[in-house]
Amino acid sequence: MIILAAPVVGLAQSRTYNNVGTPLNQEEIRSFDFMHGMKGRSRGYTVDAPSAKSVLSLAFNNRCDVIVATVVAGDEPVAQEQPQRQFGAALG
Amino acid sequence: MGTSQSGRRRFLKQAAALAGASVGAGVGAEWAARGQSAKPEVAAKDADAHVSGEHLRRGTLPRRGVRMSVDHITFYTPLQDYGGIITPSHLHFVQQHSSHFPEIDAQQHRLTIHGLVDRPLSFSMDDLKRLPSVSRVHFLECQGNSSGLIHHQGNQHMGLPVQFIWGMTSCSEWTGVPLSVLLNEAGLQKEAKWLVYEGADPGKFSHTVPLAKALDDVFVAYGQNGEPLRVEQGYPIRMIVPGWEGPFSVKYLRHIKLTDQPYHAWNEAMNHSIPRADVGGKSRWYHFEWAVKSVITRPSAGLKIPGPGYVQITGLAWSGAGAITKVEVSTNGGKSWKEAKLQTPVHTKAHTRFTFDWVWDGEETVIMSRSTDDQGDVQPTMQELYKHWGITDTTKPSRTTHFTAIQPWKVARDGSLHDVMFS
Repeated sequence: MIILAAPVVGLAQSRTYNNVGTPLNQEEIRSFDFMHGMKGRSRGYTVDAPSAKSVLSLAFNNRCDVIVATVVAGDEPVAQEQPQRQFGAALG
Repeated sequence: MGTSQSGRRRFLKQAAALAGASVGAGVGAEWAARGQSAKPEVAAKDADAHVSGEHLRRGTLPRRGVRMSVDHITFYTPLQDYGGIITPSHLHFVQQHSSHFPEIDAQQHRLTIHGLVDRPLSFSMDDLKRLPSVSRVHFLECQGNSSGLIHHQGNQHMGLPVQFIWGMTSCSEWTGVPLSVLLNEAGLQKEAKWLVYEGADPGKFSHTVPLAKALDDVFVAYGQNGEPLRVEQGYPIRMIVPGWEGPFSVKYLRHIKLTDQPYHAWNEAMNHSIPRADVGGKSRWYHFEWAVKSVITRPSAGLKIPGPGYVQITGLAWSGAGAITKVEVSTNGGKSWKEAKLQTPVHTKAHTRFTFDWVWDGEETVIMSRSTDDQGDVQPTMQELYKHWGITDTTKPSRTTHFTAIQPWKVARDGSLHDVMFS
């Protein structure tokens, strides 16, 4: 009991203005965290075009709303996947 | 980040608002103003009244210039029409990245802090007002203010040239809670290096700021010039990031997330960064802190000096890096410069009023101002700025943001003034 209580006391003491503000639980955080707000899929593939060797297709949805994008990604579309997915999520 | 409102219903509502704006050139857009913001047609009428000088005959206050588009609402501050350094709240510039202002119930609004913190927290408006507050005078400025492309592009609704070219900066006394207080309550984890934060507006306007800046002088404001924030200024709360480009000061603030890296939200990555000409446009330029600037607000283009004789030249100077220490004025096209008077007190990262006594001889000339801040930085000419950026053709406006060049106004023999930045 003493071991478990110690960290709680430690946290409470580090706040300066107690009882101002309400703790958030993980479920509340997940409900508004845009990093997890949209679900997405992406696929890179090569194309036969003079100005681009590869492109990356991305699709995001949040319930019935959807964003579909095609990104010209140079030679390594897979390497571009993560930043493009983050970009797409930011649009949501 | 989501909201308590149904995402689907919100999506449809926004789509409807956008459709209305596109059909009616802005007049059909949805406006929710709580009695503090003008409808578009009213704003346009006010702009007309300002341009025609009707407000002087009526004895009413000058009004902002206005430009409406499907996804932007812009009000320009009439810099030429007021004195001192505090912009009257109803004249503060607006750059709204949506077709309408959001309806927010302050009693229901919450500011949350989560991510790399020990104690994720939610603050109500009552919570925020219980905490220690500060009141500070700071300017805000849109990153596109005085951009090269806006020169000679105004219309009758946008006001005089100094208004639509330079009027996306204003200065207020802001009141709120230091962000350091809130972050301390949440408990920063050692990996936390950046913040990404989001507004409750339809576009969920988001931005990133490094933790060092956040702990330095950033605060969450709920008051402006002694009154609650106006709807168009982010009611009920907005971030104030002193000295940095306006988009950092996110309105309708509701979520703050501590991260270990910058987030590259859409508005900062795509809308508020520009291709670098000095590397052939292969990289994009991010700007944070505003450099030193100044502009003569009166007399300026669109106004007219009645005749030869005494004229007080006045204007504003500011710097995102600190306080203004000197403003010089040239009345002969930059051949020689003389020091102007600075009105006190001079606040850091705030507008500073300068005045200069001049006797006009009736001959054609060019007047301009040049400012220096306490970091020793001096406002550049347009040619110096373009050279620094790698833009070779100085005869044409380029797509430039963070434009800080000296503004030349030509005085014609009939006393009329004209913008000669690119001529």
